[in-house]
Amino acid sequence: MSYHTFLDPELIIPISRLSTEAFKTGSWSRNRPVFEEKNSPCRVGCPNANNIATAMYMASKGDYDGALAAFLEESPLPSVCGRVCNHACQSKCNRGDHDGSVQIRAMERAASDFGSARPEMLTDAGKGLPVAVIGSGPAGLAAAYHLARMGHPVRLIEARERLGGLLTWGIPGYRLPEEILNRDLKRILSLDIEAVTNRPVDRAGLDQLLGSHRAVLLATGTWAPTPMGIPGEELGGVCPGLDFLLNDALQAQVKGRRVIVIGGGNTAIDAARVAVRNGAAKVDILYRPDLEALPDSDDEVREAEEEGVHRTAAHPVEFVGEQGRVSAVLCKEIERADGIDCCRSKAAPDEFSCDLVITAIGQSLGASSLYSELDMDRGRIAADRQGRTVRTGLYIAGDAGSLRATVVEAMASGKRAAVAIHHDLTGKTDSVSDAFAGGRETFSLHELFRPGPIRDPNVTAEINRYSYLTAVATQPQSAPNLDANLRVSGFQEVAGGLDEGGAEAEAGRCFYCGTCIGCDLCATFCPEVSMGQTNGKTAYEADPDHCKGCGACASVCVRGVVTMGDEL
Amino acid sequence: MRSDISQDVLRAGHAACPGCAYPMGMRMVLKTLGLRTVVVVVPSCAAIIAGPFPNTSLGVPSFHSAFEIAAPTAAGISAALKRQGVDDVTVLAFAGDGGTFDIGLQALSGAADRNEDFIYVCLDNEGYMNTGVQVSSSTPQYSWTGTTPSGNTRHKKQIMEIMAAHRIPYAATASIAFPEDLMAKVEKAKGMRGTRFIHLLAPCVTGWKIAPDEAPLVSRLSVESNVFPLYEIFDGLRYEINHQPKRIPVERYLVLQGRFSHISAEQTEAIQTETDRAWAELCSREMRSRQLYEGSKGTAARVSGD
Ligand SMILES: Cc1cc2nc3c(=O)[nH]c(=O)nc-3n(C[C@H](O)[C@H](O)[C@H](O)COP(=O)(O)OP(=O)(O)OC[C@H]3O[C@@H](n4cnc5c(N)ncnc54)[C@H](O)[C@@H]3O)c2cc1C
Ligand SMILES: Cc1ncc(C[n+]2csc(CCOP(=O)(O)OP(=O)(O)O)c2C)c(N)n1
Ligand code: SF4
Ligand SMILES: [Mg+2]
Repeated sequence: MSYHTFLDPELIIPISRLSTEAFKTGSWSRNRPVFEEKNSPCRVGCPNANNIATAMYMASKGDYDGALAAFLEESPLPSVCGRVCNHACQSKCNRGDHDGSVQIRAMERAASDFGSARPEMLTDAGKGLPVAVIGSGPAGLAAAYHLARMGHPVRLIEARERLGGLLTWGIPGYRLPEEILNRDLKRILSLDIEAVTNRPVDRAGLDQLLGSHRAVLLATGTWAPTPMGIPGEELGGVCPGLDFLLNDALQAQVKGRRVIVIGGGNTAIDAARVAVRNGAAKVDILYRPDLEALPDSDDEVREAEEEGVHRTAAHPVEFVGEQGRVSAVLCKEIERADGIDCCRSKAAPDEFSCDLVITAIGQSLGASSLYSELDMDRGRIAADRQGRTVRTGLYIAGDAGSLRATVVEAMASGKRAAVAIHHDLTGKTDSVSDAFAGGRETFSLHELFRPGPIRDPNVTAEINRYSYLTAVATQPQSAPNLDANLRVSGFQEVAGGLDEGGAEAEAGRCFYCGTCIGCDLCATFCPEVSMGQTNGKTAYEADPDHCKGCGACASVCVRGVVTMGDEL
Repeated sequence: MRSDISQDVLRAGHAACPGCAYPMGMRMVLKTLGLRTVVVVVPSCAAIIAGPFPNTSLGVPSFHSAFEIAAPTAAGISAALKRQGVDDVTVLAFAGDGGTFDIGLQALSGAADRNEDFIYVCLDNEGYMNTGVQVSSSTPQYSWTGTTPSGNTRHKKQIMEIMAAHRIPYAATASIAFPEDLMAKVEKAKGMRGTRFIHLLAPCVTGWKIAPDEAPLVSRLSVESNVFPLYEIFDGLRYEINHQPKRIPVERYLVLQGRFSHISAEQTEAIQTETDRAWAELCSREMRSRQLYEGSKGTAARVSGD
């Protein structure tokens, strides 16, 4: 008998040779994990539904080309929006109450500063279906961009000598430098778009275009001033804000003068800051707290104040003059209905003496034969939510059709109209409403053309306790502004941009809510060795034979992609 | 940290309660050690997870030993392998806190004293859980168990100090909520010789009265509240803290667990005070040992006798 057989352990102790995998412990479970990518709250907050989470993830790896490409999915103007957008997205950031929102606008700027990418074509179904776009502000540019991406030959017709609408003529260079705007314009024009400038379209021209093109989009903006309707408005030295911003000669007049700007929004603040830069002796803003919305971003107000602009809550009732020129603004005592205004306002004297007055209380559509057959709604052209007017083949986008006068809203409406046109011309009407995020007008074009089912637009990713517990609190990154003394002597850009390192760090703060980045935590924590990616798929799936439905995977999904499904 | 299931050593189909932290930890440890591993299990939930004859969840050779002798069994297997000239196999012992802090303590001490060559992972769920939640010397003060219905009166035994007193080359605390840290420690231990001890806190869903999906969260809180700091001790002397905690109030850790639902505000305060004291002491030990043993790179102070 050999030594070996004598010690064969199996003769004296039992040895398990089978796997426990034979036990189908999946039958214990009451529910299973569901892998579903969702909208991030910031994406739903962005009127243009920008794919922020993906852009942030790309940037966090230093891939700015990828980050820019993600923005370009939905937006033709990342360089512009990275500077002047009112960033509604940021207030929705899940990090907001934790350690401060991710600085999404600064990141959009970083993506456009450091990345390069080409717009992606979505389909060529628009081939042979030409569309004319009248007006080249953000609404017209966005519509042209998206129509071209869907294959339509686009003719973009602009009345003025340069493209850009208020981006070119309204927003001053210290907030949006010309070369930055040109960067976006150049990218847009790399598509199949024929841009024509110096060509104001009149009624006859419009009718002609409707004959020669399958659809026409009006994106003509609102360039007429809204009169204040108080005595003395006709006096010399009283001029509307946009006229002031458009006219170098008017601007030159402020040198050494006392200027009063009336209004609370972007135009008022910009007019005041332009006056400062043109050597005005004193610039005061009078804003009417009961009527004017404060500007969306506190930054601008702060920057204006740093540059020497004073703001006072007051309610002008009359302009008084001497020899036909304005010399003072009379105000009535303001009612301080809500608390917010009191904190900002100094006691307003009844009379403000001045040499010049700039009125900037909002823009109007103005009379034009272009609009004569169209319905009106609160001073704007009426249309359905995708911009279809009552005239067949004629669509509307931007400020001309909306009271929400921001770049991003204009851009988003241009996108909606582009899709309406595309669908009307190609006879495809399905699935559009599915692609609206959160039941609002927010609309993802990329989602509409992505293969596979459309991500449920009404589901926003919810993150959990584990997300916050594992997130290291870090202050948002910021970049210093140009020194106020240097600013007022010219039109150099005021806001500093993050450097590449800072941007990478800022992007790293993002939870990427609703977007799977393959962090693998769900698979790592599964006690049943049951969660994983199968057959090279990016989605994670539980093995139904063994998943006990404990929910550990969902509990560690800090982005809210894996959640537990309903009872089986 | 991409986890490819095909690389896993632990298999599905085991009988752990849903959401149990044991298989999470066992998975991470085994995956790091790989297939050239022999495992010893002793009565505990780990033995249940290892599977009933003739099935096993452990994808490597393993041995069920008696409750109190995880360490000497591992030492024996390790010596036998060496005798056969096999030196690329890691011998790993999994034992619960009962099997480590209580009944196995003498045997573990003897093996550690001889600096026997194995990795010992104590899966600490702070009680005799497999037998239905009874108190062990690892159960924290004030905690409910079946045998401490109005709260444990004793303190949790400081097993890391006991192991350090043996001057073994490596001892470390670890948490399933920090997989990278845990796996790095196992990897480090794998590269050493002698007795290596890993104290792995592993919440018991049933015994701690937490929801099945809360083991990662509760584990994370145990570390971030400083109740269970992550640190290493080299040669029983040199301390190194691995994670700077957020110092979350212990209350946030305690309120999630039904086993603490009865405790008073004063008791919570007492736990906080003790936690702060222990953390301060750990920090000062780290500082002191750094001054004293700077430069000693975790090499074994004493070499195994053979
Ligand atoms: C001073 C100022 C600062 C602002 N700052 C900000 C800001 O910081 N952030 C923000 O989000 N928004 C800001 N806004 C608002 C924003 O600029 C507008 O809401 C946005 O530009 C509207 O876009 P749009 O495409 O509808 O029209 P516009 O930008 O007004 O463009 C309309 C274009 O149509 C052209 N056009 C008009 N009629 C014809 C015609 N008959 N034929 C051919 N072309 C025609 C015009 O020449 C113009 O180029 C600011 C506005 C102003 C005035
Ligand atoms: C000598 C001996 N005494 C008692 C038992 C019964 N027994 C089996 S497991 C167990 C509890 C083990 O507790 P612990 O080591 O903490 O492991 P856990 O079950 O908590 O994983 C006991 C008492 C035994 N198997 N052997
Ligand atoms: S962690 Fe594993 S067992 Fe638990 S629910 Fe997720 S897939 Fe199922
Ligand atoms: Mg135990």
